[in-house]
Amino acid sequence: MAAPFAVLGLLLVLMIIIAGWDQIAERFEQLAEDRSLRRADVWMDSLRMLRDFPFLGTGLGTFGSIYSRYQTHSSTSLFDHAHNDYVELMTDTGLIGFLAAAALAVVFLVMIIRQWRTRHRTYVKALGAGGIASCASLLFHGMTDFNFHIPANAMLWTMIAGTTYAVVFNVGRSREAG
Amino acid sequence: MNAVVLRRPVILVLLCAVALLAVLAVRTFVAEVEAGRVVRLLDDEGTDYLDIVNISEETIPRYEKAIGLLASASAWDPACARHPSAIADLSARLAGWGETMKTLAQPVREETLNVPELWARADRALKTAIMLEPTNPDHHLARAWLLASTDAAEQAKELERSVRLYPINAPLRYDVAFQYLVAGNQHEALEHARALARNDDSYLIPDSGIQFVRQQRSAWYRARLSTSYLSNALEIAWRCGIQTPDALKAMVPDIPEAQDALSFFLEQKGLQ
Repeated sequence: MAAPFAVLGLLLVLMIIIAGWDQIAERFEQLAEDRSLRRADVWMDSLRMLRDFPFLGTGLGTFGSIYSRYQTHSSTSLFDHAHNDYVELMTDTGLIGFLAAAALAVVFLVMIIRQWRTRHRTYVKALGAGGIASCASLLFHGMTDFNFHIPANAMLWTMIAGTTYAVVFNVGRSREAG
Repeated sequence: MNAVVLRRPVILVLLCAVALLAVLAVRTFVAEVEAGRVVRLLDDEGTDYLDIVNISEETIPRYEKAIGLLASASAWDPACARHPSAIADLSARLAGWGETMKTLAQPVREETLNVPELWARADRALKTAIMLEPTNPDHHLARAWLLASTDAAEQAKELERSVRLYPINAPLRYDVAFQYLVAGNQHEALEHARALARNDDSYLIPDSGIQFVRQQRSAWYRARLSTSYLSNALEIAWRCGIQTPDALKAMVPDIPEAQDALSFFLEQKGLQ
């Protein structure tokens, strides 16, 4: 049952890559030449912030106020965010906050995926897969952007995560049953 | 029943928190409305676009009213640094205009424009802005300008604070170097001009286009480099007495665009 789905998924990914490769390649070329926004430079500078505030960070939402002291490139650009949610979480809350948030996310995802694998109803399988993919895609996108620092996106992620949990663990039905 | 009794304090606390958040939101909204009225009040109706009306004896009451509105906005939202910063800006503009009129032997009556009080108000407002946003270098820079003619030592402190907060920023570094130059402190002006020449990367051209653009030597390329902060840094160094090609060359990074900017600058000064 799993093998045909895996093949289908692989085919889908291949089709998307082939159909949109030109745009993807063009975007990567632009990024390579864009001297005004080199994300890797921002991350390296941010890590210098972490060296100065390793355990508790600089405080939630303070990246824009502190980063300018550590910036070493782009002399006319101001950065409000690190363009990487994980790096910004680390500089804002330090290693303690980062590890706590990472542990929470890992436990949540592992729990959901484990439970999802035990379910058999097509409805739960499909909705659960959609929810897990949505959560994972935003987490992946967070590696090069600041999605979780945009309240609408963070709220949407929370809603999707909550819905996925409810579907996979059959929350409503178990209460009715109880 | 017991569950309801136990939950009541929790609900009460939650309601209080929601009410507090609602009050804060309303206060911020009212402050924004008050500050938004300033834009319409000071707009020059003689033009199609949004701009600020020139200062004259007829428009001074509008400026005063605008400052009043901003003070009201600041009272509604005392944690926002933008309002005191705008009060400082308008007060400094009025005071500067008053002093210019005095220089032109057309002084404005004290009842109309109290220049010393306006300078003092601008300083107070900027101190408030700095207190609210100590990490914003713009407030320190604005206060440095304000202190330029009255307190050189405090001006220097504010300039150093602003540079410490944002050392890489080219517009800020240029402003600092320029303020030192105007104040007659050539040593500091030159130091900051050197830092500006080292840090500025705003004139760089993408790698794929650089060869072509350099060969063409178009007017666009010349204008881009001649108006860059690197060229501004060279100009400040020139005014500080650094006027030999070798000394200027030592300031410039060893990259093609920077070398071209230097060569355009030397051409303009008749040294090449």
